[in-house]
Amino acid sequence: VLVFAALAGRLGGGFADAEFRAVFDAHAHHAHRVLRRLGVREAEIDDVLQEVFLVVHRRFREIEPADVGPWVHGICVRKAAEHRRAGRRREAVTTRSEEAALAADVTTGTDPEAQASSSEELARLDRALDTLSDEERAVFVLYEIEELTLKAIAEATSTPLTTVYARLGRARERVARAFSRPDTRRSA
Amino acid sequence: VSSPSKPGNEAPERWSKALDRDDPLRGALRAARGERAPQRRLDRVFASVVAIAPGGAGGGELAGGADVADAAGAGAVATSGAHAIGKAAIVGKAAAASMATGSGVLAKAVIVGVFGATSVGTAWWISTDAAPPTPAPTAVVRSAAARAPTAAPMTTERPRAVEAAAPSAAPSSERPTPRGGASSPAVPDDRSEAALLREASAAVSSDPSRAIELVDEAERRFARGSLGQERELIRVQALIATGRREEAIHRARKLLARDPSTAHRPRLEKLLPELAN
Repeated sequence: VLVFAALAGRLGGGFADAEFRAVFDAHAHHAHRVLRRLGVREAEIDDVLQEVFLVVHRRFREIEPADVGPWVHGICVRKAAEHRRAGRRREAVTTRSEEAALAADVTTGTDPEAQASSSEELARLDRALDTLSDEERAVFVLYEIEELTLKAIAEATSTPLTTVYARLGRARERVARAFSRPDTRRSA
Repeated sequence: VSSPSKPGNEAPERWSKALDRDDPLRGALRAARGERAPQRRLDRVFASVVAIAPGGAGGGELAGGADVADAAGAGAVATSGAHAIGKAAIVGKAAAASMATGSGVLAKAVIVGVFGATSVGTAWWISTDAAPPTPAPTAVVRSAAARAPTAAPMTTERPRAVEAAAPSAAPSSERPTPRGGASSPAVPDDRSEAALLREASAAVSSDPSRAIELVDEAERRFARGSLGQERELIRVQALIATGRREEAIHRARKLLARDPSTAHRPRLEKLLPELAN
């Protein structure tokens, strides 16, 4: 079957779906992760991810292959913001425990330091991120977690580089403050 | 904790490296970076995107765009047990669609159809995480999975291929059990627009009337939703599947009148050649 599939892939020539599948496989994990950290609710991430990749599907051939990663991140930032603006917060849809159950099958990587970090610390990070503006949050997440360069972030978010610097500075201050604060407040 | 440098200077070192090793913030950032969504969830999203994306399947519309989604659905089914094979099914089926269109040689389509169906059947069989071949219209997760066994009947050649492949591949004694707690118990009345359309699209070939009910619901609840065109595309496919071709043409014309440059035009014209006149 695998041999046939490889053969079929070759025969397909300009084979749009295999091409899209490759783009999806390369970026969907990152996009999923970005959406989580940008504060899209767990139960809604798959929907937003679907919207993100509908855009990707429509346009990825226009993008230089090397730029696709930052471009996808940029779409995530916009879709996450749209999602919040649209006020599609169906608070009653999922209970806290359902939300946790959905999140539970998201796995952490193999980084030993990441393993050592408890899910409580990740929740603390999310609460700290909740104190940021959308713009600050996007820069912080793309720089500190996704490890894009500041230049790539500027391009992905159509923002001047100086503004990106400034937002990262503010975001860092706020995150540092909020993260070290004892957890007295509930997450929003 | 240092502030980033001024513009023009070097970018600040990332906190995941710059912070002390025992700083919990450093650990949290690394944990965040290491997170991976389950492949099963991503495959489901992939299937729904190719099912409703403009021009999907690279123009291989002879077998219908939804058919490729079927293959992707099989991929989703196969993830836990045999992700690679699931992918093979996608490639195989997509190839079937594109080759059938490209060559127009029926015999070729049959042969490739058999291969495609076989790989779908295999993927389904190998999976230990698959739903039984009964439609489960209320659960998004299961409806995608449940379609794998009925993936082929879009063209007249394929059902036979599936009958040949699936029973041997999935003896009833080994029929996999339904998905367990991993799937989200969706609250039917609160499904999002995207979730409704995902489900509708999954039902187009197996239960087109159900698909129409779902797009009606999507239209009622998300009259100003952002996926209106995708909704109408699914409706057109479902109407054709139920034999209501005139209505399908009417809906398609309306969509094209509202947005003449829609990216869905090529697909609509392939589904309904009479639109081109």
